[in-house]
Amino acid sequence: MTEREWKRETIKQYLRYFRIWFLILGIVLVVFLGKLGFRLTRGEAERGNTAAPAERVYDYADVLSDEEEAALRQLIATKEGQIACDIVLVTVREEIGERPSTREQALRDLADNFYDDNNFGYDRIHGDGVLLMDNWYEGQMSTWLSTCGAAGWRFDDRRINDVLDAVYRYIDNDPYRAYRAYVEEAASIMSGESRFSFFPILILILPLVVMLVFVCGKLKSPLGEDTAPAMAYVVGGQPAMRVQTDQLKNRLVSRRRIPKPSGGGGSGHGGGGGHVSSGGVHHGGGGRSR
Amino acid sequence: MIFQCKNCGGNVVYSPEKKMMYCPYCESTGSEQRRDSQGDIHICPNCGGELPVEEHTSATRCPYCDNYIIFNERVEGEYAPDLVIPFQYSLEMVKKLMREKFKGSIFAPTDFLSEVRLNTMEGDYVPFWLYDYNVNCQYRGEGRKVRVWVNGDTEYTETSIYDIVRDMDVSFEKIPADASIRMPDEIMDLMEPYSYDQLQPFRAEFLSGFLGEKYNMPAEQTEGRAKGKMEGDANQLLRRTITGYGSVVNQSQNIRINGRKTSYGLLPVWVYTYQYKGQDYPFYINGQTAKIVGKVPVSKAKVWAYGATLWAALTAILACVYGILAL
Repeated sequence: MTEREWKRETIKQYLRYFRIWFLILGIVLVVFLGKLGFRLTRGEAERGNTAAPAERVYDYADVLSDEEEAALRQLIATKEGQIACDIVLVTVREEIGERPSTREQALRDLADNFYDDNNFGYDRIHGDGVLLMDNWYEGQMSTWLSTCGAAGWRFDDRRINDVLDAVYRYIDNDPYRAYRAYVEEAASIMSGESRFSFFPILILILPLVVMLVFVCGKLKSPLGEDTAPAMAYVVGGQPAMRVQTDQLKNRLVSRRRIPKPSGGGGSGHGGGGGHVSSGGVHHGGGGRSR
Repeated sequence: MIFQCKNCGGNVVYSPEKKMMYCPYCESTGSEQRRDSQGDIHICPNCGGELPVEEHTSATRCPYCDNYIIFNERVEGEYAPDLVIPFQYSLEMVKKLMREKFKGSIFAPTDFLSEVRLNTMEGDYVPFWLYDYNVNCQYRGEGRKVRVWVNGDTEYTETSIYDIVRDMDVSFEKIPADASIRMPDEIMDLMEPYSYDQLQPFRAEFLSGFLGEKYNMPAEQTEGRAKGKMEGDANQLLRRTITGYGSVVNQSQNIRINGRKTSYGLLPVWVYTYQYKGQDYPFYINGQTAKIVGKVPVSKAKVWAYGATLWAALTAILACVYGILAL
């Protein structure tokens, strides 16, 4: 074989070895491109609920300028089309409870009722949607995120906290930026992007680990194993035992008192779940005070 | 000496497949005729070409006429082997086994298992001293067994101490130690075990078709290795009889040799030397059991190419999957 033929043979071996990998890559690439194309040409998801008002920004606390409200409305309209979910913002400045213990529930009821009374929901009345109610009343400043329909199971405790964290990062200095963050974060969670937030790290690390394991495994080439057993050259395969004794010489017994374990234990606390509003609609959500 | 075919005059060789003498030219079997030659061992008695003969060579192949020549004076008299295990695997069989064993070695150079390269493999009869020993092993030690149990709020620990005494006789038969300077000792040890069922009295016919050496050193010089193996095995056999103890303290151990016998034998080894980037990569294959010993050469270019491709392919696949899920 000539040098050129060897090179051709080497490439052939290489292609043969990776054919399954290349095939898988080809398949996922086609699926990805197909989905991307579909996504780009699909346009907005059709709205199934026409009973809800067009308004999404209710700034009763008057913390936003007209321009800011308009910008938020436009952002919400764009995002709603992409994620097929209503996004509502309500700011109030109300005394909603006498005692701090009842304020959170009062704000929750206020948010849920607002959602229900206005017949929000993208796919149907009281369907998929999120509503952020932010109370600016001095001494009772708090926020509640009410979720409904598909948003109810998409927004678990961790994700509700993610939204509230995003809002509270800016709320004191720049309410507009805070509410924009709410819209962005809520849209990201509904779109599913955040569900796979671990993926970029996985993409960086996993192939590297697999590659190192693969290379090290293939480089491991032991010289040869010692396969000669101890009996290999023994005539008859067994030694002849003349004496084989195991004689008990001494026996000692010691005892020890086992100390009783001291009492103790842990206590847990339950997490929140869904609830039903006074209008009979199932809501989820969570809130925070500032 | 040369074994020539009565029918065609070709060089008759021992065939591991047929287990008899065979003429590869006219395909006759059992047609060999021994032709002894006197004179310079460096000259081929068949064609007169110069033979590659070294100090201990007992059988070689003429590079000009491809005849296998056996040197009488190196397989007779003081160099006459007592025993031999004839080759059980032919070149074709060994080539197949090599390809099977190393088919997963993707980093090996492409021509590592090529027909051309593998055809350079040579069958070699390696001289071995075979040692028989009758030994007596005596052992004394102290063993401890510990038992723990709980009754109510009290934990009991019982320690039993035993006197262990062993006295056993072991007969070792034909512990091999190679008597070839050319063959690395640790590799020859890895060639073991040989099955002595196929051990036969020596006949020069077995050498025809292979290379061979007479012993390079006397039996006394290699006995240390055989003794080391014997003592290791005896020790292991002894330990197998001491079981059930949590810990054992040795008090005395003695291995006494009561009788010894030495014989000289030839054992079959195929040798394949692959050269890559100026370095030799030798492979040794037991001619009786086909056990392969050797380290596979690595092509750095292949390591990079395969490693990088795997990394890139997996990264691209995961990126696409991420894209599919997130869209």
